[in-house]
Order: sequence, then C-alpha cells, then structure tokens
Amino acid sequence: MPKVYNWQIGREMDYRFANGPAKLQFAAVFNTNRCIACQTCTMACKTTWTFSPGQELMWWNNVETKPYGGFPQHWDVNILTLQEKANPGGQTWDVSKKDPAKAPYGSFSGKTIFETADQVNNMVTGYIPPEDDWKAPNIFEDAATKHSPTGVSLPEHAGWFFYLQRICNHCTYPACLAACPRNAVYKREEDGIVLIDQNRCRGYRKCVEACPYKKSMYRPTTRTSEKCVGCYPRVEGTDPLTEGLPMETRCMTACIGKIRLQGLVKVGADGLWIEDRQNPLYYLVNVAKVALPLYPQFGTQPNVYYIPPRWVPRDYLRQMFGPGVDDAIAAYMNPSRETLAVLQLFRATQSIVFSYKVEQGPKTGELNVGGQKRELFNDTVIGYDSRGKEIVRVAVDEPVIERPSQVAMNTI
Amino acid sequence: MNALRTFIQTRRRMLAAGAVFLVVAGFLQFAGANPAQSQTITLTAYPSDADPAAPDSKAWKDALPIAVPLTAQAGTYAAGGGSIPTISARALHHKDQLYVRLEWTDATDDESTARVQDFSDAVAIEFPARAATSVPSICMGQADAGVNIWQWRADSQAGIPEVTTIHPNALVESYPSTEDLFFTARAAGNPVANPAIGAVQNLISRTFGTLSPAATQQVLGKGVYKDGKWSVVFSRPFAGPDVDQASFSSGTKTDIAFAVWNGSEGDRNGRKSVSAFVTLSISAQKLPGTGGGNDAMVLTIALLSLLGITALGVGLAVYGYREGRTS
Amino acid sequence: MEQPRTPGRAFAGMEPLAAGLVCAAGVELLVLRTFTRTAVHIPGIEALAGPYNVVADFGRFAYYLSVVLLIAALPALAWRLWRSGDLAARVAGVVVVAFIAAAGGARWGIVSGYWIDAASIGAVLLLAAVGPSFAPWRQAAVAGAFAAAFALSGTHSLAQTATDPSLRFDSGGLLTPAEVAALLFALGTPLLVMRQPVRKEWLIAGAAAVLAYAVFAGNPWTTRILLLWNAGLSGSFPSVVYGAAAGAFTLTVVALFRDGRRLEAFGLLLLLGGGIGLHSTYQTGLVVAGAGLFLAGASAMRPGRAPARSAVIVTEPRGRAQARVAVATPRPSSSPR
Ligand code: SF4
Ligand code: SF4
Ligand code: SF4
Repeated sequence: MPKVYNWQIGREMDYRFANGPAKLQFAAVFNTNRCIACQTCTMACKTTWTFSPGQELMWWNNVETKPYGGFPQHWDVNILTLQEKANPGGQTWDVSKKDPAKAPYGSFSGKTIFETADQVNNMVTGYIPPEDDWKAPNIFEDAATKHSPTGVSLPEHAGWFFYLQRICNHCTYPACLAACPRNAVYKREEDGIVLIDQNRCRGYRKCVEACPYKKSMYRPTTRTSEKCVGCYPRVEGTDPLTEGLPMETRCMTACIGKIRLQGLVKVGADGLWIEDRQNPLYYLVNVAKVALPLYPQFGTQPNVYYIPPRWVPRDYLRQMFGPGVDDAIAAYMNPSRETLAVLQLFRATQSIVFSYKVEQGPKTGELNVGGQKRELFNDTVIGYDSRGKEIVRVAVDEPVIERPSQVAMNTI
Repeated sequence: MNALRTFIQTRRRMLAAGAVFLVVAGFLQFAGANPAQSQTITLTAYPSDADPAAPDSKAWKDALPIAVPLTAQAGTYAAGGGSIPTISARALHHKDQLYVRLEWTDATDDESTARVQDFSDAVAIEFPARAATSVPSICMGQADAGVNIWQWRADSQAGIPEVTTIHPNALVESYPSTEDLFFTARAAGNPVANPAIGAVQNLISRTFGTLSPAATQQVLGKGVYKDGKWSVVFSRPFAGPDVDQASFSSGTKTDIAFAVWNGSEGDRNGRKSVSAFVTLSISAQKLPGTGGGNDAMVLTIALLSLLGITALGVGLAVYGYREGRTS
Repeated sequence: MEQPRTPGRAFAGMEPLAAGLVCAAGVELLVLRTFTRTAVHIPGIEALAGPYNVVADFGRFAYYLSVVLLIAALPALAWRLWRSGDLAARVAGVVVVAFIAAAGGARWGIVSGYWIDAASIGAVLLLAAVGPSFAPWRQAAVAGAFAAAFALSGTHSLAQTATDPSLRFDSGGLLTPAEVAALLFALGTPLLVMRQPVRKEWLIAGAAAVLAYAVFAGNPWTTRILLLWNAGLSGSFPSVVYGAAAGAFTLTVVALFRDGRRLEAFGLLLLLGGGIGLHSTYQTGLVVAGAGLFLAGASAMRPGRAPARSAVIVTEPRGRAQARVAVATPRPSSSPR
C-alpha cells in the first residue's frame, strides 16, 4: 500500500494509489455563518444535472441542518461510529505536532477510513445508506438542540443549530476512487475533479459505500453510480458565458447568501498546496486559516473548506472540523484587514478569481467585538482572472443607497 | 585409469541424453504438443436431440450433474461472499450450440436493483479465451491468458424498472426530457445501463479491473427461480467469434469455472462464491445408456484385483520378513 | 554367479534421471504453477510484460522437459523394477508400465477420462500395496499415507465424473480424510530418518516450517488456492499444522540427502510435485514415478539387503549373516540399524 502525505491530518497515511501528477485542484470555501438554507444552490444543481428518471433522490448539492439533520440521514454519525468501533478511544489529535506548512492543525493520531479497512474485503471503512435514508434532503430543518427561552449569546449558544452546505469534496485522496474495483472513478489532473466513468461503472456501489461524505449516489435506471461533476464544463471554461475562462459552478454562483467562493489552487505531486499567496482560497485556508476541512480525520483530504459557525459548542465543531476550529473562529470574529477584504470576493463574480490585490482605504469606523476594539477600513479588493485581467473590484463598505420615497410601492 | 575412463564415458552419455531431452522438450513446446491429459473433475456435454434452451426442458433430465464446491473469494479486493456452498452443473450440446445449465440453492430471490441497497442474484461461467496458451489464472485471467466470462443477472433479466413501479406513490410532475442522453451511462454506451442488454453479458478480462464487454454479445441465457432454487441455462454457438472469447468443438476439452452472487448478501463483483477450474469435455458420442452398468462392472473387477494384489503384497511382505529373520 | 539381490543397487543408475526430473518438475512447479498464477497479484506486472513472458516461457519449457524426462524415467524405472528379481518389485514394474499405457491411451483418446482416472488411483494404491514386501515398514507406511490421500481425493473426482449414475455419490466428505492423510504423510516422513538429525538439519527444517507458517498466516487465501491447485490440498486446517508438515518434510529430505539416500529423497520430492488427487496425467505420472523411486530406494534399507550406493559387498562365499556384518558404509550415520 503506497504512502501519501495528507497535510490536513499532518502525517503520512496509507492510500491505495500513490500521488499522480496534479496541476490544479478544485477547492471552495463555504462560510457557514452566512447561509440561510434557501436551497437555491440545491435547486441550481438539481435543475442542471439531476432532473431525469432515476435521479429523484439525488441531491449532489444539499444543505442540511446540524446537528440532527443529514442527507443521507445520520451519515456523519454513522461513519464516526464505525471509525470509533474500529479504533476505540484512539481517534484523537496530537496538536503539539504542528507545522505551518505540513501540519497546520497538528497530527491526527487515530486511524483514517483507509487505515481501519482490511484492504481485502474493503479498501475503505463505510456503509451503504439504505434508500429511506436518502428521502429527505433537509430532514429536521431548523431543529435546534433545545429551546432557549431567555435567548442565546456568544460565544456558544445554549440551544443551537447551523446549516451545513455539502457537495462532493473532490478529495485529494478520494475514498470513492480507492474503493472502485474497476477503476471507473478517476481524478482529473487538470483540476482535481473526481468523476465516475459512466461507461465503465457496473453499479457495484463500492463508491457509495466508501465515500464518507456520501456524495456518490446510485441511479437505478442506469444501474450505475453518479456523483457531483464539479460542473466541470464551467470550470474548464467551455460555458459560452465566460468566453473560455474558468467559471465557478452552478451551486456556487447561485448562492443567495453569498457564502461560497470556489476556485482552483495550485497543488504539487505530494498533495500539498503550492504557495500562491494571492489566491483567495490559498489565503483563506493557508494564511488566515479561517476555513477548515470537513471531518479531516476521515483522511480523504477534502477540498471544500468551511468557516465554522461561531455560535456552536466548540467540542462539536472540533469533531467536525478538527483542532483548527478555535483559531479559525478567532480569525473570523476579529478579521484582519486583508481577511475582511478577501471575504468581499464571495459571489462578486461568476468567473473564477485566480488572484487578488487589496488597495487600502480610509478608516471608516470603530467597533467593539468581545471586549476588543476594532478599527474598520474601507479597503478595496480587486480580483483577477486566469490571465491576470481584472474581473471584479469590491469595497469593504457597501455603498448605502437610499431610494427616493416616490417610488411605487411594488417596485423593487 | 579405468575408473576415470568409465567416468568420462558415463559423463558423455549423460550429456548426450540430456541434450536429447532438451531438444525433445523444446520441440514439444514449439509444437504445443502436450503429451499429458487433464484429470480434473470433468463436466461432459453430450449431444442432445431436444432443445435444452429452457431450464426445465426435458433434455436436461438425463444430463448428469457435477457438484462443484464454491468458496468465498478472499484473495483480492473486493473479497467476500461464500454464502453459496455448491453449484450443480450440467452441459449438453445441440445443433452446434453449447448449453450449460447451472442450479443452486438460494433462499432469497433477488431480482431487483431498484434500491441503493439491493443487489442482484447472478451466476457466471468463466472459460479460457481461445488465445490462452495455458490455463489462465482463475482470478479474472492473466496478461498472457485471458478469460471469457458469461454473466447472467437476475436484474437484467427482469429489466430496468420504472420509477412508478419502484415507488407506486411517487408523484413526478414531469421530466424535462427522457431522451437517452439524460441516462448518462446509457448514452455513454455502458452495457449495464442498456435496457436491451438481455439477461447475459459476454465479457472478457485479462486481470483484475480489466473486465470489459466482448466484441460480440451472442450468449443467451434464461433463469428460473423455483422452490428456493435458481436454474439458469446459458447457450452460445460453438465457434468463438474472436480470440478473446472461448471456442468449442465436438470431441474437445476446455476448462470451465463458476461464480455465484447472492444479492441479499451484498454480493457483487469480487464478492462472490467461486469454484476452481474443472474440465469441460464436449463429447461427440451420446451419453452411454443410463442402465448400462458397464462402469460398475469394470470397477468391481478393478477393485477385486486391487484387493488381490494387496493381499499378495502383504503376503510377500510377511514372507520376506520371515525369510530375513530366519536367515 | 548369481546376481546379489540388492534392488537398491539396481536402481542406483536411476539417480541422474531422477535428479533431472526433480529439477525440471521443481522449476515447473515454482514458475508455471505458482509464479504465473499469482503474478496477476503483483502490482505493476503489466508494465513488465516482456520479462514476465520470458519467465513464463521458461516455466513452460521446464514443464515440457519434465514431461519428457518423466516419459523416459517411467519405463526405465519399470525395467529396473522388473530386473531386480523381487516378485513384488516386478508387480510394481508392471503397474508402472500399465500406467504409462493408460496415460498414453488417454492422450490419444483410446482410454476414456474416467478410466485413466481410475487407473491412476489404482496404480498409486498398488504401488503402495506392494511396498511392504520390498521396503521396510517405515517407508511402506509413509507411502501408504500418501497413497491413501491420493486415492481419497481421486475418488472424489471419480465420483463426480462417472457417467453411470449408480457410481455417483456425494463424495465431498472424502476430502477431509484425504487432507488428514496427506498431512500424516508429511508429518510422518521423519520416521524415515532413523537417527538424531544434526543441528543444521534442524535449522533448515525450522526455517522451512516458519516460512510455510508465515506464508500461510500472511496470505491464507492465495496460499490455499495455490495449495489446492498445486497439491490438491484444501488448506482448511490451522496454519501451524501446515508449517509443521513443511518442517517435517524438509527435515526428512535434507537428512535423506545427507545420508546418501537420494532415491528416497527424490521420490518424496516427486510426490510433492505431483500432489494428491487427480490433476493431469503428468502430475499423476510424477506421483507414480515418485512412489516407485521412493520404494525402490527404500528397498535398499530393508533388513538383509545391502544399502544402495555405498555398500561394500564381500563376495567371498559366506553365509547371509556374515555378509550382513561385512556391510560397511563410509558414513556411520547412514548405517541401517
Ligand atoms: S444558496 Fe447559499 S445561502 Fe442558500 S442554501 Fe445554498 S449555500 Fe445556503
Ligand atoms: S466527497 Fe466522496 S464522492 Fe466526492 S471525491 Fe470525496 S470521496 Fe469521492
Ligand atoms: S459543483 Fe455542480 S454538480 Fe457539483 S453540486 Fe455543485 S452544481 Fe452540482
């Protein structure tokens, strides 16, 4: 079994295949703090890719209410339980082994889903959620852990819930790919998008069983499994709208809450991100460390990063996003001028922003956050496309526009 | 001096003999003439007058079954299976078509793969490809010896279900399009997604992960589930259409192996119950009449002579022992 | 002057041929029956198709060479068995010839598969049956255990192949006794050594046992399937048993070589190469040759007969008892007790 380096768990791990050549990697940052669970993203995906017979229960994008909800139901609790059973009491992190580039969150001392499998019967520890588990895309919608009659306050709400937006993570070490005995699942060198070859798939559902995020789904009318395709024609730039330039996916660009930013990051053959300081994703994940991988301990090195919800009990969040949670929330609650500027890029354009620049602006105000004084500056962030051409420019202070009072009532 | 000469002479004779052996062996290899004969369990396909295509055809009544033990596939990922301990195989030929009838006990009839957790019952036969020069690895063949696999699937025989049959209460206002293009795997030419594929897929393989459809799909099959048992008949014309597929002719032998998938056990791909290769002999002669206890008689004679010779051996031993003692 | 009754000596001339056969069959077993069947499990083997094909062709050549040597060795063995003058040995010689005839007949389609199968079992059983008359009891017992395993496993195939329904029966139950007999055979071989093994022999045997155990425990399934294909064993007992069997067998073979009892050693190795049960007339041929050579070599160990190679026979007219006293061997360790 080859060894690969997984920087999210800060160590080498066993994986069925050695690292292949890689140039760019599909990646995204989701800001859970801003999502309103409008499911516009979900419908954007559905109406683009999964509207045909046999795909009724398929939601490549879904937004679920945590902690009770899940699509399929209890997917994460189930995997965590399987892992805990396989390695009782051992699924812990060693945060003393931190290294800024190679182990930013410390080192995971437990076992990944690859390491708890026997490699003969299964390559990956997993399960097939039965059909009933897939029938509700957002079951327990808005159900909080408890009623808080006196209200709630930071840092941790007494009764809480939050929305978790989920698509396929186009993992660096995909479990779906490792599990496929026919090698029908492949990861593209040019953008790291993970696809199932619909010609070779024979419907064994090993990927459905293996994907810890349950983002590979079975389609009975073709007897094959299908999954999020990362809107690859858009990422490739073959959509006429952007005239050959890489464009963000449907679920990203449709986002009402402006919670999503997606792009392509430079990666090396060792699975590590190559330094690219001015790429907004690189900045948010590797410099500001405000966005974290979902369940990094599974070991697939997922490529969707989450800014954790700042009101949720930290032990829950640490289990979900790893030991980087406290730093990430601190960095989000009290952002640097640069972080604040980069956050403005979310949903500012459909084209993928490959780099940005911040132009400093005047001080516009002062705030008190958690007893700390904060100054606000009206900086401007400028986004550039793959050719280095400016595509967007946003200021931190949103312009206030007052509507004239005479406008008719039903005009928007 | 004399001893040395004898030594050199024997050396020379041995070298000469060795050279002859090597040359003869080389010649046999070159000619592909194997003087040995396989002795593994043999499934004999006798000619049949009636058409054996249906699993309950009367042609099968007199065909003698062989019971082949099956084991879990536990060597290569994805391993598992083993819930079906034996399979009973019969073979016949009729009008230059080979018919193989397989029967096994399975308490559950798994014909639907409509739900994500449902897997189909299935059975497969594996033959060495026509091009294989040695018996290939049972595990999906090997690079220099491919295999030809015929797989019958209960779900393929049942056909692709409509959503309304899977979920009678489902309400779908409309689908924007029901063209093949939107059945992605179908549009990509994947045989498992093809509603017209039929119950049997004809596949070729040259090691794990290389299983792919054969160039031609002329293997037919029909399965019947009755009284807790599946009976499946495969058939194909003798002539193999290309070197990757098996070829048969009357009076020849080849190898045959079996695999059974038990859907309700989650069996699919490598997770299955498998047999080793046994010999398939395609007999030109008819099955010798069932009543003719010919074999039985000769076997009795053989057994009796065996006993006699054993007694003789023991007698001699006793005699030799005594002689040794008394001298 | 009458030829002395020393069958062992009569067979000494078989040694070069037997050695060649053992080598060729060994290479065939390792390369063709083992390596090429497992090579598919070696990662990246597709990329090495060139070297792989060379090795596979070499294995195939070893197979053909082994067949040719076998075709030469069997009649030679039969001839010498006949010539040895011992009645039981003559019977054995006839059995060997009958087997050759049956195998040839089967190849050319004169003898049906069922009959060659029955003849194979008969031949092996007969060889073991006549054994006690010209080989000491230890050898006879070891050969008997092997023959029992072979016959039990072979009868299972026979029961599956009979065209006469009355000869068919549910024979699966024979396979476990066959396995037991085969293991008893291997575990019983040290009976043949008849002296304290020296340290080196212990070490080699121990290493073989540990290796066999490790292979078994490490990759049980592949080992089992190979054991089934190569030797007709199902490998269903705990790994330790197979480790012990491998150790016992190795110990015996090494000790036999050390004592100059090569024919017996070659015979045992050929039995291993042939395996139990019915695979092909080639493998059965290895078993027939192995059993024949083993018993022939063993005949030299029979009390009252001179050991095969290293004996100095005093030819002056003396009584039998005196002749026995006059037997001297270069290595004291190999003197018969
Ligand atoms: S569109 Fe955006 S805000 Fe709405 S549910 Fe999706 S991620 Fe949340
Ligand atoms: S999220 Fe699941 S389906 Fe997507 S790449 Fe990772 S393992 Fe595969
Ligand atoms: S990236 Fe595209 S295919 Fe994937 S979930 Fe989003 S919209 Fe659907």
